[in-house]
Amino acid sequence: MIRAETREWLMNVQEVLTDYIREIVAKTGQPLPTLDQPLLDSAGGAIDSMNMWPLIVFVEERFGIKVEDTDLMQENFRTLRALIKFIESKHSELHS
Amino acid sequence: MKTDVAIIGGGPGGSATAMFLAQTGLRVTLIEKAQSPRYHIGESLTGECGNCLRTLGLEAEMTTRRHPVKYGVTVYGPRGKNAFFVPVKGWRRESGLFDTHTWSVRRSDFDHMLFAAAAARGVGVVQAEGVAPLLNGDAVRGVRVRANGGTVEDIASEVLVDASGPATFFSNAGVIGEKVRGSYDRQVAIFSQVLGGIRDPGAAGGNTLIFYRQKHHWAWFIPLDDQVTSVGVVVPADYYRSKNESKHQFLLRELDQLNPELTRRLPQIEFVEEVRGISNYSYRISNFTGKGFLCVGDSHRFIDPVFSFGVFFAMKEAEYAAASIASFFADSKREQPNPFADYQRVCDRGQDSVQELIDAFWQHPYAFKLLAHHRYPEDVIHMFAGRVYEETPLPGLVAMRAINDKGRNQRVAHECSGSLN
Ligand SMILES: Cc1cc2nc3c(=O)[nH]c(=O)nc-3n(C[C@H](O)[C@H](O)[C@H](O)COP(=O)(O)OP(=O)(O)OC[C@H]3O[C@@H](n4cnc5c(N)ncnc54)[C@H](O)[C@@H]3O)c2cc1C
Repeated sequence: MIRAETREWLMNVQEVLTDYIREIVAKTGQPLPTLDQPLLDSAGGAIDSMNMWPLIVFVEERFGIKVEDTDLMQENFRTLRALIKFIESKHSELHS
Repeated sequence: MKTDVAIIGGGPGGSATAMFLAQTGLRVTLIEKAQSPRYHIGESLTGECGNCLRTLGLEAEMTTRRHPVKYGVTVYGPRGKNAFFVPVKGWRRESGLFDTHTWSVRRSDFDHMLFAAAAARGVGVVQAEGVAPLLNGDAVRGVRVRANGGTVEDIASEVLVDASGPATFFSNAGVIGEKVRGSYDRQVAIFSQVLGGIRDPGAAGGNTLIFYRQKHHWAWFIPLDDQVTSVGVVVPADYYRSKNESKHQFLLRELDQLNPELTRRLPQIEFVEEVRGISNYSYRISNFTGKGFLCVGDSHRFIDPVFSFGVFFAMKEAEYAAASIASFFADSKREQPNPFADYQRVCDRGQDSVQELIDAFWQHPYAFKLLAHHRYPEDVIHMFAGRVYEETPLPGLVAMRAINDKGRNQRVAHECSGSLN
């Protein structure tokens, strides 16, 4: 039961994040990145130091996790896949 | 010749140490090898560095000399976007942050002013090169100097201060350990001065501008007077070599291409100074105090120029060193194995704090901006205001250190797994 819920929650994470990123790239005029394409502007992506903060606030509120100072490492934001993995791990920390 | 305190090097660190000590009534001898004024790099002063000058009673002279007034630093992101402004602030334990201004300086004028002010306040100045320390066991007892004409003289001192800057006199003479390369040792800086350059309008015209291109690749723009601007680029040494250009060609091309906002600010480029280069400027010598001696400023450590802390450290350490030396003279017994150990601890704390700030900026640029702008904006402004000597680190500094530690551990883990494969 819990597992099915978790699975659903995770699918939801990807969808919600994709929607969020879609709005950002609509403004920058870039194509929507795939799961493994770069998110950060240093690698050509759409997330720069200005819109990263709203993204973090969004992630915290939407998924009920706390992004700690040491979570701000760019590894966690490199791609959609990395970000989903990060949110997952935060979520399982919270619920284990 | 005999003196209480001899100081090698008449840069900001040496001259400030001499002036602070002159206030205590000790006999001070300041030894400088170069004919003053002489060229030096390092022109943008921090807010607290401005306050060191005020403490030394030099504000009026700074104003008379018309050094450009600096209210802050604007840092432009890649492609000239996302600029952010770091205001110049001061900080006092009693009253907290306050608005202030500082200056940017042509170092030949500035260093000459400090050197002359020291002489005017009763410091004995000797134009000569310190060639060897005079030792007695593990204690330093003075210095041998050679004047331009070749005359050699021994100056006996109770305390010898090394303020020789990157020449690292004590380290070279084996009084203290060897230089250990710093984290930013693989970059070179190429710089000169230009006529003109488009500044911000009005009072902001004296501000320092920093242009970021990518990691370890950036440029500075520092007004030196109404007409002349210091410009320089810092790049990875490999990149510099790969270009295979003269320093002059390299600087011209970089200033034009590094950042669109810099290109806009330099519509035409006419150098009015030699184009110079410097490398291997990031280093540290860990133990820099002992019986009869201590180091100030660049003579023991320099991290990276990006946040312009160099002259601040030299002058702040001068203030701490003078206090430490004064209490040494006040102590009748003088039996401690290292009378300047506390001074060293304080210096380390300050430099280590700035090292964390700089490491976070270069290694974790996104995290740095998020911490500096959103999570701990106050703390970061405090640190830029010179509040880096706290026994209990500010939460913003703790956060930067935690991120840096995590990054270091990951790099170590990565290297270990790499070497196993
Ligand atoms: C690329 C670059 C950019 C920088 N930009 C900035 C900046 O914008 N702002 C800032 O604050 N700092 C900057 N710095 C750092 C700054 O230049 C130094 O931190 C500062 O000059 C240190 O002061 P000091 O008194 O310790 O040494 P110095 O200023 O180097 O003075 C040392 C003096 O000792 C003399 N000397 C050396 N050996 C002997 C000897 N054997 N006998 C007698 N005299 C001797 C030298 O002639 C010299 O006058 C920059 C550094 C670099 C590399």
